[in-house]
Amino acid sequence: MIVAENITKTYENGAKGLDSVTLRINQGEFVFVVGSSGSGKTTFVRMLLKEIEPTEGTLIVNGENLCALTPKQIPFYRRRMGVVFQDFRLLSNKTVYENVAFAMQILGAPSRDIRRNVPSVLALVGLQRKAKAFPNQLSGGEQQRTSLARAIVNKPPLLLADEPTGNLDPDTAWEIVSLLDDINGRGTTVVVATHAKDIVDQMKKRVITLRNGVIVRDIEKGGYSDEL
Amino acid sequence: MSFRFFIYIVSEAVRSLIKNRIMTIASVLTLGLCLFIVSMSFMLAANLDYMLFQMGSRMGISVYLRADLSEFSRHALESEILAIPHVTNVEYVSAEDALGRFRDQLSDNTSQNGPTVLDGLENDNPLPASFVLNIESVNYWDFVENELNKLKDQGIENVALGKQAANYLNTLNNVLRVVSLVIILGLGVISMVIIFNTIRLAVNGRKTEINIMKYVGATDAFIRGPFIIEGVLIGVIGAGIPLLISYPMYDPVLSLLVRVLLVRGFEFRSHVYIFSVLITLCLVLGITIGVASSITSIRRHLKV
Ligand SMILES: Nc1ncnc2c1ncn2[C@@H]1O[C@H](COP(=O)(O)OP(=O)(O)OP(=O)(O)O)[C@@H](O)[C@H]1O
Ligand SMILES: [Mg+2]
Repeated sequence: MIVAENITKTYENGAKGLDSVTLRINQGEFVFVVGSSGSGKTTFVRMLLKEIEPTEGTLIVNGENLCALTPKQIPFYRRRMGVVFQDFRLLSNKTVYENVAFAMQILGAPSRDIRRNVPSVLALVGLQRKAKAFPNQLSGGEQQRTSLARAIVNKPPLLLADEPTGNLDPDTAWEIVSLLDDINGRGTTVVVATHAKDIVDQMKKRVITLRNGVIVRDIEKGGYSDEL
Repeated sequence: MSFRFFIYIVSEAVRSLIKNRIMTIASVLTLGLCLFIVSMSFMLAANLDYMLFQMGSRMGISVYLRADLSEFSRHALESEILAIPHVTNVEYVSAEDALGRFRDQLSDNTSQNGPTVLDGLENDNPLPASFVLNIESVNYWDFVENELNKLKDQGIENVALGKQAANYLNTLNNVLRVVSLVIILGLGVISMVIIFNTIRLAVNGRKTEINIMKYVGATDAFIRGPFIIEGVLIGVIGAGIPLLISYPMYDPVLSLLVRVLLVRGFEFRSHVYIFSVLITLCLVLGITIGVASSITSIRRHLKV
């Protein structure tokens, strides 16, 4: 699903976001990408979104070589992944339902499909009762669940999350992570960049640890701070 | 492009125009003012042009003939003149006719009957015979004059053109064109800057939305669409207002023209003629300015 070979990202100011990273993530995997601040997690996620390009190396996602993708193909490439951020990024003037439906509307989905898919995704994240609420009437966890619903409503095979629990208290963070686990259980590949030590330790999923843009550890069923 | 897509884009555009209404009004007003001046100067220029055109065919060129010209040479000269391109008509006015006309004019002006100063001139007529010719339009005035001068040794005494009036109109027309062009260009640039900023505000106000659209995989056309339509709408409204205002102003403008120029007897362009050109012109200019400013604005502020 994701094959990276020696990818390096050198920013314009000379900072190295990633330094010769080689990894492989298979379909259906659940992967944590961890590391201290500035280690390159966001750089990796943005690269998968084709927001930035590797300065060296090759990156293949969903069978697409990202370096060969033309600007016109990028939107279609992005339709096959969902993404969740720390700051939710919901539209404040739209309800929960509308925020989720929006992701289908802008891809031109027929309203019949929208009326069928949105409620079922809202049920999946446990928000069916809040469909008519606006984001400012929701708790942080509910907002993140809304953004999660939006990320998966188009049924992408890959879900990316950059610090999805960064703004949430531990209990709420757990709710979100178990939702991510559920989604993964339905076959979606999930990549989560995070600082949340407890969660990573308890989930016993694959953990890739970055330090200064380099992979220093990559363990199946690992923890956040296992010794090298 | 599906119908749903179209509806979405238009409603987003309208929503954002209403949200940034101060800037929208400023955009529409400057564009409207610019197009209003375009309309006014077009109204004037089109009619001045038309008057010049009519002058060519109405006001004759008088070709005065030498007194000793034989009838035979006169006929030869007449056909030579007729052969000059753009000459539409040649009329012979004999010395007697000329005197008769002069007398008619005089009595018209003074409304006098009875003997006049002209009595007794029949036997010693001081007026020369002439050809009065009409040409297609004043544009050919110089050309025809040139051709006539070439025929001078075939019995032409003198060529008199009613050129001054035409030159006056022509100069007026040119001044009008230059002045209005400068104003239009200036206002055009100002309205582009204002529209540019209106769209930029719209883009800034929708940063999150654009961001989400980008990650969900909306195409560039979809993301840019509302902003382009905003430019189109500003263009259409900015074109509609001056058209609505200038339509009832056409007749007053014409009577002002008549009063300022002290001309009479000219036909003017019809409402239909003027406004079919103006509607097209204003819409094309308005939409072009609107869309051009939004495209520049989006390109700068929206990296999708
Ligand atoms: N746009 C940018 N321009 C220049 N340097 C950048 C840019 N983005 C990131 N960097 C640098 O690249 C390195 C990796 O940054 P990145 O944002 O990927 O870290 P991170 O692991 O996501 O950190 P955090 O946990 O704080 O989010 C850092 O040294 C950072 O300063
Ligand atoms: Mg980060």
